[in-house]
Amino acid sequence: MAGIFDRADYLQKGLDAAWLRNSVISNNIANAETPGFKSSRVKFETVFKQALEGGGFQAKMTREGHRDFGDPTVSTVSAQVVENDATTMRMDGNNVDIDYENAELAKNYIYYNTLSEMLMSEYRKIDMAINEGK
Amino acid sequence: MGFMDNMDISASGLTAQRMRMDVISQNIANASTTRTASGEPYRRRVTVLEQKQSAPFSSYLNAAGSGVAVTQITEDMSDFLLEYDPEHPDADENGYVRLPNVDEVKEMLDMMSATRAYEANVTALNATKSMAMKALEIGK
Repeated sequence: MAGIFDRADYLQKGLDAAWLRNSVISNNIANAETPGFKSSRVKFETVFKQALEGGGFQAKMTREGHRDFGDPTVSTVSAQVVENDATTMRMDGNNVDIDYENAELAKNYIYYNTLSEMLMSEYRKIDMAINEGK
Repeated sequence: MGFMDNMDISASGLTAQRMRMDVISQNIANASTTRTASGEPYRRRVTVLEQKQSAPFSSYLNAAGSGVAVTQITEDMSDFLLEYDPEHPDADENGYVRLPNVDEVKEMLDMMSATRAYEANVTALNATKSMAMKALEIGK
């Protein structure tokens, strides 16, 4: 059975990922003129979708001290920072595309605001249920 | 990943670009300085930007990075420009004056790129600020 805060928890994971993404984009922009710097991306939506759909490989832990090496589940999934070192934009080895980073920043800002609006309305709904719709 | 780390990253970018701007201004101001303490004409200065390294352990914990820093300001060792001006007090026996290796056009271009980079960091900082303010509304 789904818990009352499940949806809120999902949204919270999205918010965490968006915050990390903001941090990564800020770092890319700050290093836009640094020779040899390679930009990074945050991978979240695809891994989260996989975790939501379930399946994948799961490791069975039968004893204390066993390590979980299976695919992440909804409760363990988190955003990953991936460095893109395959491309080069300039002669000094830097690969930050400032226009792309700015677009991503704006996109991420809207995404974050949307998620926090959704989280707010989620809490309002829970509140309403607790107060018997009053 | 702290709540205010994002702002520190953008702030480091602002500091670095401002420092770059200072050095460019110094170069332009001294574009025709023929005397310095070393006896030579003014040498063009160049800022060296470097990525700030996060502590080795935290880099394993999905850290985004910690911004940028000016690690050194070096001198451009290219040749001085020569200008024929026998009346100049710093002219040599052949009448040539050694002028600084500052190219104003190059400095102007650098200045524009520093300005744009500064603006990009301001945009990132504003986005972070608005996101943080939005997060404070949750639960209202």
